Amino acid sequence: MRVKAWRGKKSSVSWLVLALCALAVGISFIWEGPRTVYVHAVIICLDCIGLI
Amino acid sequence: MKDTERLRRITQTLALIAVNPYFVYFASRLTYQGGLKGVCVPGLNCYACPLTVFSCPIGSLQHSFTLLSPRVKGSVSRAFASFFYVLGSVGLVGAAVGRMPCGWLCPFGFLQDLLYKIPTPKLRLPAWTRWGRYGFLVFLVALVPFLTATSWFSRLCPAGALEGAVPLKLVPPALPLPPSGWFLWLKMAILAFFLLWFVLSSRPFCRSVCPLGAMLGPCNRFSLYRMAVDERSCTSCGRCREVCPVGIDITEDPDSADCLRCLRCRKACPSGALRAGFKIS
Ligand code: SF4
Ligand code: SF4
Repeated sequence: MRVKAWRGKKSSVSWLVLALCALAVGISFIWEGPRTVYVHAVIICLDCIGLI
Repeated sequence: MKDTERLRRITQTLALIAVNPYFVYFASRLTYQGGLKGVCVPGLNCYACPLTVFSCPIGSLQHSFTLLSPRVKGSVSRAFASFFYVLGSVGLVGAAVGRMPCGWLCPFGFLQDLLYKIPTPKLRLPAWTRWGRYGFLVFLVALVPFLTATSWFSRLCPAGALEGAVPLKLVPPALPLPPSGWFLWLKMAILAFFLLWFVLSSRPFCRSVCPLGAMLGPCNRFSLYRMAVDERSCTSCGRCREVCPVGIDITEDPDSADCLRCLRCRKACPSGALRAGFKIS
């Protein structure tokens, strides 16, 4: 059975990207993890959408 | 097709409630301040919405660019931490399921699906408009915030206007907002334009504007969740293209960055030629 875009496609790329992204999130924790995202979302997002 | 659509409506509704459950706001007039606000959801949901308990990945990414701006001093390390965190979070979702959250979870995608059901004459979007979302990602989310240190995508974003500005103006927070000027009217005009477009065209924001769609779309090429076409069963009847909300022919490119993985085509295919599932190895 010929199946376009299924056979012959290696999931290794998916796993590699998953590992790299997990590493990126891990590395962010060396600095501060989600702190900047959190502070921005809680405090300054009103400015960000132009309400203040 | 009905079963898949019903299931999709259920997941979209549950996602909408799960991301925006903070009804306490109506009593306290204080927005949620807990730790979940540091988590980016894989969908476009404004973090200024008084009901939300999560963050928007695009607003957060854009904020990283404003922190990198030469106009903001001493924030480079915060910018990089935020970059790694946001891109890593989006990448994890993309590598696992590609653009599937667009089809099954995103509240703004859900809104477009609902409004498109209103019976009116419909407008087809030309395929080239797909490049718009990459333009918005590069210019309005990255370049302009970097140069001006101002979050211009969020300022103009119709999701921000609908989920943030409108409810906050109708039910103001305990600390009152300053009076709004012409900019609020500009936001409302942009929102009105998009709402009308959602009635006339199928998923126009997802196809032509959304920077998150621009980031998740290319992940369809390598994600663990994939779609495929059994070429021997496919009779080229074109039914899959007819039902596709983004007007693509999945038999030409099952990995298309436009595909929302909504699976309407798979359900509609009379010869069962379309497959979808996780390929772990
Ligand atoms: S492309 Fe559409 S469904 Fe996907 S995140 Fe953007 S608005 Fe939501
Ligand atoms: S190709 Fe199929 S799964 Fe992809 S968006 Fe179109 S109908 Fe949905």
